Amino acid sequence: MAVDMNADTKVNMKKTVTIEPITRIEGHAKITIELDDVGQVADARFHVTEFRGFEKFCIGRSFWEMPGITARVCGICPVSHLLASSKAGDAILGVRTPEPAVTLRRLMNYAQMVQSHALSFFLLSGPDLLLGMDADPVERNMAGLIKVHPEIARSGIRLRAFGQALIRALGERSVHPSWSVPGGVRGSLKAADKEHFLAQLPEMYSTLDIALDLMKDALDRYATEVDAYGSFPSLFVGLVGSDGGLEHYDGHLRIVDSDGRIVEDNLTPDAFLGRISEAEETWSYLKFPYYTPFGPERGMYRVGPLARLNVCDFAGTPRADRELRQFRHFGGPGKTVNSSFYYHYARLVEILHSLERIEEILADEILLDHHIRSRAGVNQNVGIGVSEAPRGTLFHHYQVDDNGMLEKVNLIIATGQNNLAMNKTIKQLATRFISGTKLEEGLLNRVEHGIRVFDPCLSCSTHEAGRMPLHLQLRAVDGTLLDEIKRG
Amino acid sequence: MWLIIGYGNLLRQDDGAGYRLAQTLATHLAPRPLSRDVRILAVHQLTPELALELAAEDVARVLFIDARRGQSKLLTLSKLDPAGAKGSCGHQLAPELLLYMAQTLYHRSPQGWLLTLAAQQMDMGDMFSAKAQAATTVALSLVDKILVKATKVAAK
Amino acid sequence: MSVITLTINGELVSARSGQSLLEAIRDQGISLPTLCYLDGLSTRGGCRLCLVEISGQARLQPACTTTAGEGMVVVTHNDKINRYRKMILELTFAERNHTCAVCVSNEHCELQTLAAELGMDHVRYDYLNPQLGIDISHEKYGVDHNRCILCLRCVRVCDEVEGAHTWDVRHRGIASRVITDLNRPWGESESCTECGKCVEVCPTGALFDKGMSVGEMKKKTNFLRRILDGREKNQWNR
Repeated sequence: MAVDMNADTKVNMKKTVTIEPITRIEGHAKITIELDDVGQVADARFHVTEFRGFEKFCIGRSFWEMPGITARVCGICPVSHLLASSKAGDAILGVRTPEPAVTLRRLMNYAQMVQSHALSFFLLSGPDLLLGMDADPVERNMAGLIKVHPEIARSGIRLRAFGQALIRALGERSVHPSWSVPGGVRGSLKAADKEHFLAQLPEMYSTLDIALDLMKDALDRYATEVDAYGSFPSLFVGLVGSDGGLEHYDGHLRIVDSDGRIVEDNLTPDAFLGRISEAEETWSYLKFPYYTPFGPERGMYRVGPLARLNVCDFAGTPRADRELRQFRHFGGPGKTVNSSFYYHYARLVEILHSLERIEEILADEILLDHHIRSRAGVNQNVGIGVSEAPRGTLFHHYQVDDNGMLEKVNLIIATGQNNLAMNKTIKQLATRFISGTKLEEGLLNRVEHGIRVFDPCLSCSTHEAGRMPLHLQLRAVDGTLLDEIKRG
Repeated sequence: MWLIIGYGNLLRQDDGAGYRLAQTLATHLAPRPLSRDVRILAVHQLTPELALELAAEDVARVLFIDARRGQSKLLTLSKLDPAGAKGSCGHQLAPELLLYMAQTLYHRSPQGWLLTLAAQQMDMGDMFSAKAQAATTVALSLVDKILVKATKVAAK
Repeated sequence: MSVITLTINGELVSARSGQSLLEAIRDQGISLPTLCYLDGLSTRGGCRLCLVEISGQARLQPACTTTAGEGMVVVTHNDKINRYRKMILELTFAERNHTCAVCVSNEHCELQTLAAELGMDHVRYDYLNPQLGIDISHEKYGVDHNRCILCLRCVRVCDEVEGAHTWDVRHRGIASRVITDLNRPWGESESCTECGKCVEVCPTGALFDKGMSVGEMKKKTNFLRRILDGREKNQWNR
């Protein structure tokens, strides 16, 4: 499959390649690659055309309802919104959330990490990683993976089901658990459930062993390509614990640069957001946050699994720490791992870490404590809740009146924060793999995969909109359609 | 045993029509003996672990209910072919793919159908357009008929 | 106590003289939907869901405000009545923004339950989407006008049982809103005793305990009978 780039013979006219929408990511997005008149990549853009209307939807409601509302709006990472929202609520109450509740929330967050990363690795990126980027697109998809590697697919599904079942056991419903609330949580974990999940852990660990081996094989195979998948210096942002360890629920924010130097540390969410500017572009609804002191170019930062492993000092659990040491070899001594391709690897390290943490928590006596919810009224008018979602740091920033009615809502989502890096990744890929005037199928998928490494979630979109088949358009700068290809 | 899976987002107007129909069916069937032969799930979207539900030993038939924009008929009902699962796939799976997963991964081959309800509006909100409502009403009696008929056939 | 006889759905039944038709019907084990009616409060015939057909009367009559009469011939369910009931529910849903999925009373709501029971699977009327707010100025409770169906149980329980008469209604018809005191924020109300009876009797998520999250608000109306039996009959049993 190829497009003749010389279909248009006018001189000095920029040509635009549009890939729309990206398959195997959540939501509705398209990619545009602009070529200059000599066929060189001029620019690459990842468009998000879905308007995130729910910030407005929430104004005038009470902050108490927000965990339930935000979890409802998003079908992909409801737990992340639930936690960030209830933490913003905690901040508005201004009281201490009971330790057992915090532990239970952590447990749910780890379960979420497991199920979400399992989907991304085993089923969404699996086809590219295990079947090969240049494999026939008819086969290179979930169905193809299932046929060729049924045992991998089964393990991935089991792992995902494990995470989902744990979330369900905690929140009653896996998709919209309005379980975590300002001040704590609504229910504890049943003793019988504890045993049930502990018993499944050995199987999950062995799934991870297999996945890690596959990942390392894939890294060997793609050694020459890893550099093209968004390998560039940038800042990395994520939570770290008070001891500097890998953290997904609380702690403080740390910013490191690609030489591994800590740019800022011990930042509260409030202080961090004070150092971030949000550029807006007319062609995308996603905002483009950057670290203000460095400006929009050098201030670009990445969040998510790769960033979290780059900012932390250690993982804090034995198996994950062993993997983390191997992971760090890819960056070189003292440096961060800079290729976005390693997001895949980082996801596996995080699943492993999450499983170990789940095991620790399930064995913890604190789960028997019945004090799981603090009650208070509005003591602060502004609350910022932060949590590490599978895709990266998520902020819920609320301003309420003295009664708790929402006056301002700003949700800073991981995919938005990775926006600049995603664009840069596409541009890098396009520059590397577009040669001459032909558009190869393999290139299309590489560009898509370049986006997929970030596992972006745009799920406030309807599922209906995401169903459209892949659509590639070749457009002149004045908008005339020069050529198009449809896939799927 | 029938497995009925309605899916969609209840906060995106008509997008949630499939989800809503599954809920309505559950209440509608609950008092009847028929309900013993039907398992109903209402989900936000189709996800891979649902393959485990399809692969359950007692499931012989699966009916997916979805909302679809741009369809002129109020409803369409089509038999699903697991072999048709080769196309695109994403965080939201195609129903064919779930059947294919049940078949390839768990060696279970329940028969599958897809019922699509006509949808018009998918903005933020929880009210349904007249078209989606009409589709839901017709669909409810259609599904009822299908279930009753299937049970009668099974009894013979 | 004199006994009367009447015909309900073709069966000859007896009832106490002076009893409301609704009570007489329910005594027969027939379920009749209601929203504004609540045992212990005055009847107002506002929601119109308990409409029944009475022979010799051209229009359907609300059973709650009609006294059961000797020789009455009553039909509680037929196609016409069922259609009317559904229509009433549809109008109720179309009038405000119920957004069940994120409501504090989701799955514990009388309106939602009735819609399911009566098979209300669609709304034929245009949604009005009124711009309505919430008042959460009270320390313990909140009111969300989006979910209010104007059953006025709150107004009645506050006036008739608590004796505070904090709640009232302003405007008329579709513009009606329940208000506290003379339309002051609930938190500034001087008459409210903070007893919470209004919250407990509210059939939807319109009145709720502050701090409730989605689906968390469960209400109990059985306290009302207990209070009234104690007060009126000196029966202080729980």
